[in-house]
Amino acid sequence: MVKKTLKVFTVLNALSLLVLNSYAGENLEQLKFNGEVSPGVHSVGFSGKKIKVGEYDVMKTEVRPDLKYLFNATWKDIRFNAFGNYFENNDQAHNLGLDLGRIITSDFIFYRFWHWLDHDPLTNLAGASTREKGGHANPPYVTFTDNDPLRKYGIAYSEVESKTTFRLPVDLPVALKAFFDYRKEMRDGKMQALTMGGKCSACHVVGHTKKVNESTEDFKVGLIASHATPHASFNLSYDYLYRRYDGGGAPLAYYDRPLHPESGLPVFDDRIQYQNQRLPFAKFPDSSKWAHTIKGSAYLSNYRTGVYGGATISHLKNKETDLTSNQKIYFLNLSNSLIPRLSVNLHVRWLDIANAAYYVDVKEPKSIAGPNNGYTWYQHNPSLPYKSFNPDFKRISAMSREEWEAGVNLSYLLTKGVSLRGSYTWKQIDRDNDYYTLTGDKEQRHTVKLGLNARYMTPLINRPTTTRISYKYETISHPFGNPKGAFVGIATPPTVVFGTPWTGTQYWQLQDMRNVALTNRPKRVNDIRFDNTIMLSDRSSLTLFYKYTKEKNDYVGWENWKHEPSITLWYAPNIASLGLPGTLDITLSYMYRRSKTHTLFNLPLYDG
Amino acid sequence: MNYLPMEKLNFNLSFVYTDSRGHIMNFQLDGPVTANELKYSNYYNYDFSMVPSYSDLDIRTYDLIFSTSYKIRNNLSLGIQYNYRYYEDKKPYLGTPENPYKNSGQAHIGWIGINYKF
Repeated sequence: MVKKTLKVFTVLNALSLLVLNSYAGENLEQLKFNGEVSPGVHSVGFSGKKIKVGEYDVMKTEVRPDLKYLFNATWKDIRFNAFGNYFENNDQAHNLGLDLGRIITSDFIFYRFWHWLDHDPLTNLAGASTREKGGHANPPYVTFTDNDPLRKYGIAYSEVESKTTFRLPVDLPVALKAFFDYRKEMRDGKMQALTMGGKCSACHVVGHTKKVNESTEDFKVGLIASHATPHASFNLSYDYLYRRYDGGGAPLAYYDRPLHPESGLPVFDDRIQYQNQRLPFAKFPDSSKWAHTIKGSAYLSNYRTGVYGGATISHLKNKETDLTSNQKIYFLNLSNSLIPRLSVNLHVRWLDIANAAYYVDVKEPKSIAGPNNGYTWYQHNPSLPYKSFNPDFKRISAMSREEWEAGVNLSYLLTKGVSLRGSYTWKQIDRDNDYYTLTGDKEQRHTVKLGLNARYMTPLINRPTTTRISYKYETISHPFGNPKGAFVGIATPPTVVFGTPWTGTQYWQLQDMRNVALTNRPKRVNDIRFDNTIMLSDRSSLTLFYKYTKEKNDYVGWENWKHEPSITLWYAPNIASLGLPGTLDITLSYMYRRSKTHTLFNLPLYDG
Repeated sequence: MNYLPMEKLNFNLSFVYTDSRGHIMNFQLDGPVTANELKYSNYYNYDFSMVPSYSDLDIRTYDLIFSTSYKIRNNLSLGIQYNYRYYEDKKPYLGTPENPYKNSGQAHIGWIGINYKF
């Protein structure tokens, strides 16, 4: 795929040269060139925590050069512009644009910035401690090992993007354009990666340095066909996207051999999935994606009607596990403003996500001692009385689903400067694995929005004012959640459907006792916004803003609300009247935000 | 604040102060797990009374930027900028009393340069 898109890029470059070659031999009398450059030097001095006070700065303390620039050049029908700044190697941004007689246009962007990351010293993990037994820590004593305690962590974010469009310079009934877009996003640096010391060593936290070397690379090619008449315009486009994500490497950690906390013996060897080995962790899997998108639009001016529709089919693959995800989206949008003062917009969308299921094949070592010696716990010694279960299972994706959405948007001009807006949207989500909708039903959302935009003269002071008010109400039935996410109550010995070969309640029996739903998805949402700007005078303006959001789910006792008021005053006093030269303007702003979330607290039990 | 005392000279001053606070409110579990067969049931009778104190966040920041530029000629000007930043974590939790985890700092960033138009 990369070779094919590079071929397209080569073709477009060759076309550029052909266009430029047509200007060969011309003199440069019509060349116009202007710009500005700003060279300078900078220096940083700091004390205390550099990564907090300069989290997104490079923070070098020497005197260092920097440069800003802006260039514009035109010659006949060729245009070139460039602007950008270089502050540090890890703090720069550049933009280039080229227009060859509107036949070929190309834009190029590059930027890079630095982000300091924290280094957790892990000294805050002190928990209740108990006397060590057999030379091994008896839980819940928590300890840690930082394998790189002096390392400073940070990531450089970079992005390079190029967009090139070729317009066929032939007078045809249909205008044709081809485009090629390239984008690469990169993260390079080092960060802290934490893991446990082993299956039973949740009480031993281990820190390693992970070298970050990730990139996301996009190649997109496409065609656009357009046709316009005085009464109608049509557009049709197709594009193909190929994306590849490289997750970089992963640090290695040594995972201990789990030992019984009291006897100190390795009695869990016949149940452990990994031990006594160095394994990679904190790995982001490599993946690839391709997508086909087709879009079309038409506008009939006599009927003031427009239609816009399209489809996208995409395929995503996890290269580590070969798991795949297929997605299809179809959408249609219809707009009309034939009735005076009224704009109507209807839309419908269908989406389908199909993720492959994964068969989890649990490692089942044979016991090497005791009554089950030589057998696995699933196919156990027939003389043991318990009824076992197969630990292998098929994991069905919670993401796989089919969605339908339809809605209508209205905008009505009540009077000059005052418009009323309203919308209703219906959405239905049918999950393939309906376990996750609390009651097994389809999720349904109804969203209603009302709004008012007005430009008028404020009474009393008679000054120009712009006001926007909006209210949104949303109700969701059967939202996404885990219907058996937690246990509430007094634990009594559970009804043992499958026995266990050991004394004491096993952790999977505790899991089966869960009886309460958990979710952070609301069933009701209220959202109010108010935005008001008053030109108090020719030299002052006042802006008031307020936003209130409340989300609630009475089914699980989850609630979230937030208030966000702010006020901004702009004032340009007439200092000439005070005998002062020049002009002065002042902007004062105050913002306040308060939010609260109420949720069930879930204490995870980890017992071996 | 922008002040242009004359066409050739301008001053700019901006100041931002933020005060952010948050914490997890006090809570208790309904009760310990009392199943007789759970040998370690007393280990699950946790005391969460310190959660508001341990989760307490109180961060203040100041960001002051002062800049000025003087037009020497029509196409040449001189500029200076000074940026002072202050970050204070008033409720640090990490670290020990002997070796506290420093989470505050301040920085001074200075810039001087010219702008040439052609």
